[in-house]
Amino acid sequence: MKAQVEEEQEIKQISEEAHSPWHEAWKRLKKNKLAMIGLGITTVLLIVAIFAPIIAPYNPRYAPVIEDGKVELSLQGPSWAHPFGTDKLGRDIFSRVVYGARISLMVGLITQGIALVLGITLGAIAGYYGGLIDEAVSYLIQVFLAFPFILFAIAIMAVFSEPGVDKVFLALGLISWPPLARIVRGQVMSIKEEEYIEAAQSLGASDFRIIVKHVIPNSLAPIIVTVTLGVAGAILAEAGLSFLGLGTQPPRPSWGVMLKTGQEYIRSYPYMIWFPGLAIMIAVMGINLLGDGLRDALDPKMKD
Amino acid sequence: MSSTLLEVKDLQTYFFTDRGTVKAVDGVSFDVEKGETLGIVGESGSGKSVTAASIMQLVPSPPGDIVGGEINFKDENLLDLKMKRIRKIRGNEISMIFQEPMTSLNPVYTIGEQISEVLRLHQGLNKDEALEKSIDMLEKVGIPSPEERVHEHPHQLSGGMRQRVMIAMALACNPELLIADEPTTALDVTIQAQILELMDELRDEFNTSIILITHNLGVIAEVADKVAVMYGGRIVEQTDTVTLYKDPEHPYTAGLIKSIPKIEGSEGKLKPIKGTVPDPLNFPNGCKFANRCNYAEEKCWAEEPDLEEVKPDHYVRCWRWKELDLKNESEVK
Repeated sequence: MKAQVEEEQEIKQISEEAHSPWHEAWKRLKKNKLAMIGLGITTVLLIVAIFAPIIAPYNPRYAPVIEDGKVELSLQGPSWAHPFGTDKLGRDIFSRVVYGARISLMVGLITQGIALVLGITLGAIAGYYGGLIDEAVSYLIQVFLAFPFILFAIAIMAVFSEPGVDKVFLALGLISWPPLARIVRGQVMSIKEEEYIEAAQSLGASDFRIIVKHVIPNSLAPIIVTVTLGVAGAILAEAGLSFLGLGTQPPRPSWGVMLKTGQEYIRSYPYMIWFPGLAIMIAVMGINLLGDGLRDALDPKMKD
Repeated sequence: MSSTLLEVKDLQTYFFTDRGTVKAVDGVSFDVEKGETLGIVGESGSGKSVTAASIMQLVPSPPGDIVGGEINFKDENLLDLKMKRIRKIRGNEISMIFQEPMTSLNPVYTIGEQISEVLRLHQGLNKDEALEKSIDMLEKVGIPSPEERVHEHPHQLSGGMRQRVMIAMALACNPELLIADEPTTALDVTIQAQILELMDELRDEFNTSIILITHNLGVIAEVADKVAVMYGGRIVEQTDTVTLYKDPEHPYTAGLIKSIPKIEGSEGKLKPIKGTVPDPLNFPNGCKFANRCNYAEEKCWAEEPDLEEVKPDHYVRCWRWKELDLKNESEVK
């Protein structure tokens, strides 16, 4: 049996080029059309966010022309000058959507950054040491998972007495670590039973070194997937919070803020809703497609 | 007599489970001289692997704990040392290789990175020096074109190759003691012989002492200088390899020898030892082997025998060793 498996692997080795597991995953990802669409959308999103000042033709916060207190360009339909039209205050919706990508991505990345640090640290410690530490962390995870997210966000805003995008980072970051911690904990618990961990111990590596160098790199795949999907979730959550007035505040051009201000004009002038709404949908869908693709590509059981 | 490198004295490692205390290693003593190979033989559950883990202080705790005894390595009792010092010894002065070469290497690093890690950890080499030394080590353990192999990942190597890599890692810092826990069990027979030969060669080259743990007496016969036979957490017989095969005094040892498959000889039937190792919580009160022994008497069931010296350097734990003539039986089969 074993000899046979070995032989099969030998044959595989010959047919496959010498590649690391990451190369293999990339090859699998490339074959997945939906994931590549997701990767394309995510890349465009990143480019738009980074180069927003170059791409956006107008200032997103203030209308270009105001004469006699009157907003001349208020509520214009799409035109060559304003491809997505202008809003009530005469601001170019296209420029606002472009800058909105910046806020959305920032929210996604920063909150997931917070979640990564908290989730990996707590999850790895709980999984590796087990016992009382594990029980304490698991309890904390349960508590956070049981907390309604909107309520938590309101509580954070209340603590700081006024809402704002920085509090959104904090609220979303604090609420999104538990799923990650749970995954990391489970991964660590199974990986620490692997023989190469015992081998590393027998070679004199310290606990810290084993966690950082041996355990976490081996649980990277599910972490990457969770974080990618988490970015999409955070973008949605920010839009939701801002729509409720609990998140980013006007005149900052967040997609959620744009939805909120546009809702009054939903019948007479729906462009104010369409474009930010579309932006949210495309961005979240793209990132989710990429996340799903990554899950399939990184899961060794899905190899064939 | 050459100098003693490792002296294990009355080692007791217990596992405290919900169902009761399992005495996985119960009063085991042995010495390992410099450059010598000690074989530890026994079935699954005999405590041989736990003995190895105890020396490395790798007994999972809880539920396991070393509750008594001494492990004297050179001038230090390993059981008294701080974790920091233990980590300095592990991989540097005492190394271990494991049973499963397929899973003992970290899949995300190249083999070069893994061998380098040990060298950088213990010898403070920089990246390039460590890589160079890794290539050297790979060459020493007989891996062809080491300059290319060093950049490969474990999944690209066969089982035998991986075990060679493990040996290279274990020997990278030139340890004085190598503990090999079933190093050949997961390998093909032809590869087994090569790995054993390699270990033998490397022992001669580096003057490393080896503790070889196996359930396979054939493996012991090939490389070990002396043997300890373990059963139920205790050593039941201990002597040099030649004596053990020629003149076993314990019925269990004789049984093990008889159960080795042989090609020559007229009788085609294997003679396994009857029964299986009992649940560790339910060993007989007296001699632990009593329920499987063909020669067990009333006394064997009542009281456990001590480890007696029957000849110089030949110890047996059996009430009836004087009366029994196991020698002929094991040869005749």
